[in-house]
Amino acid sequence: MEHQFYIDRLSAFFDNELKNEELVIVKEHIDGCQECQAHLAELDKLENLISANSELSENEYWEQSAQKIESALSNNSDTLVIPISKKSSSSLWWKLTGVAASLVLVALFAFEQKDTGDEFLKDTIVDEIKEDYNNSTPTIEEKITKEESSEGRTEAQVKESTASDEVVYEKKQRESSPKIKHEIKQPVDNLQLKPVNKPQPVKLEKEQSKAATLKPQGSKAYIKKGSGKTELRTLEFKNDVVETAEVKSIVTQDNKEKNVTHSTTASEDKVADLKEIVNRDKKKVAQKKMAKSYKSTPSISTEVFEQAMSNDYEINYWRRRVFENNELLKKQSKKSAIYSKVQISKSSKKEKGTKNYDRSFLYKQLFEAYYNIAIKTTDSTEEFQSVQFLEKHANSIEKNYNSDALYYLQLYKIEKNKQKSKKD
Amino acid sequence: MNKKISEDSGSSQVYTTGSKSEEQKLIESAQNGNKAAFGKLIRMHQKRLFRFVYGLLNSFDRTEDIVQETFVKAFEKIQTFKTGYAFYPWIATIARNRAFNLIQKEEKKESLEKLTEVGFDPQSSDLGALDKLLNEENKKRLYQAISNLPVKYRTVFTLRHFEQMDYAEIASYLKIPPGTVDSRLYRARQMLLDAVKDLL
Repeated sequence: MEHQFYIDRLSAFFDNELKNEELVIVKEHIDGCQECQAHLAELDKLENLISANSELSENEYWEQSAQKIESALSNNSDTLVIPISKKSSSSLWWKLTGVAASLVLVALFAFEQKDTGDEFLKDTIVDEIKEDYNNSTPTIEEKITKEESSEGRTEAQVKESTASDEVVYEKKQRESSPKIKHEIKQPVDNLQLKPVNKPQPVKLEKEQSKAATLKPQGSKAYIKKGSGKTELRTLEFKNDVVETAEVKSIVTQDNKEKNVTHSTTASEDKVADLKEIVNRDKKKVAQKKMAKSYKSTPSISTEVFEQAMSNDYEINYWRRRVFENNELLKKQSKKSAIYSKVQISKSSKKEKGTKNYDRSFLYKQLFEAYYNIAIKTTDSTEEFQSVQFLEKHANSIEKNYNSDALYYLQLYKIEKNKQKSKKD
Repeated sequence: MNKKISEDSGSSQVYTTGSKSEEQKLIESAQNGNKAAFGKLIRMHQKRLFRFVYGLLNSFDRTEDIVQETFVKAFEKIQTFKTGYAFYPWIATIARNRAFNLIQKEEKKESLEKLTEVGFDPQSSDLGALDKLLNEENKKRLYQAISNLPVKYRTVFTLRHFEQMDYAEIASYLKIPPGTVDSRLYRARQMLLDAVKDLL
């Protein structure tokens, strides 16, 4: 194995994050490699430096900060409940006598109005009596307001609770009542919360937006093959997004033209030329599709974007293939489990509108994806895992697609040897 | 050389019954509504929390806000805190969750700046208000070097060195593969070694 493989793992070794075979291999190497031992010593020194100097110093700032936080806590204080003695029953007495008096009056009037049968008049009289009663007998609110206002003190509102004897007072603080020191519940409108500095949203500078004004436009031609016919299509780029233009011409296997918008036909020479264009542009089209799907930097020009992200997106494309193929394999395994139980015939397995992928095809796609990841990735752990996957399936006797795994494994080794020879 | 970073007190440490520490008593008191007790808890942990959040965000003002919000939130939810566990990991989790969105924004901004090659200058970051909290030259140099790290490397470095999280935890928090954690931490350490070699 290359020495870089071990150097890339020194950090994880230092943090005790390596396991099993990797740990054994790396440890064995380190025991005999002075360069790696020196590197580990540096990491050790760095760790000591950080431990010794990372703590923030004592400062009055900390006390101020703590007080600020405490004041923020006190802004969320709750209402203080003040228990008071039971209200007097005198008001109840007043009400009872009032009701009794009104009933007597009603009865008298009813008796007098009996002959006339004027019930409407009776009702109105009853209402008037009720109104008079309500106006004459003082309510609790009025009592208190009268008492307090006569003494020149603060106004108050009293809320009666039917469930308990505790009453919550809501008072407005005034200057002339030093005796009243209860913690009060502020009405919602009067709450003054201390503002917390919210982080400002990130804004791009104008210069950056200027650099991203390029919007490529143009068209590229390519061949699309499928279901027995060959189509020549041109792509039109609009605003960094690939949009397929209308089909300019259709060429069937018999070289007959159908639905042609112009009279040209694709000869073999042209097809060969276009194949080159296809190979060159497939990569760009895939990248642009992925850029669209990832929704990243749509305002950046394709040239800048591709230049910066070409390697990453190629690898990400293969990573996505791995993920998709794994998902399809999972679905396949579920389907086959169900079908084996129900014993449905092969002809009825294919549902309308859905594809039934062959497992060997999916595995082949997976091997191809892992091979490309192993070749193109800069992360040695990822490379190691990809190669491990290929080796595992290449050595497996059970499945009938171990030959594909072996093929890609051999390709990987050839490619690695080429890279080595180039470096040398 | 097989050295693991020493764990500070407070990382998922469980207290045995019958040996309540001062912290546990303060927590119980705070759960009964005692704000003064919670104030003591603030003073015990705010420095460490500040260092951690600053390592993630690299901004003094935002760090202040996050720390304040974290303690306020912690006080609101103090009743849900299970006694017997260390207090710091709990508030660090709250702070981490609050800082996560800001980290994502910072990463996008930085990657955009790199693409357009305008405005991105990894050497230009200044300690600013943090300078007053570092009274030694070595500390200033170290924090300057940490501040100069690209945000992707700095976040992984902070989570590993200041919070002693393992690779799996870091990967889960930042939603990246463990292999990426390894490679970013490796690069962060390389950059720091280059920056503070003379201090070693």
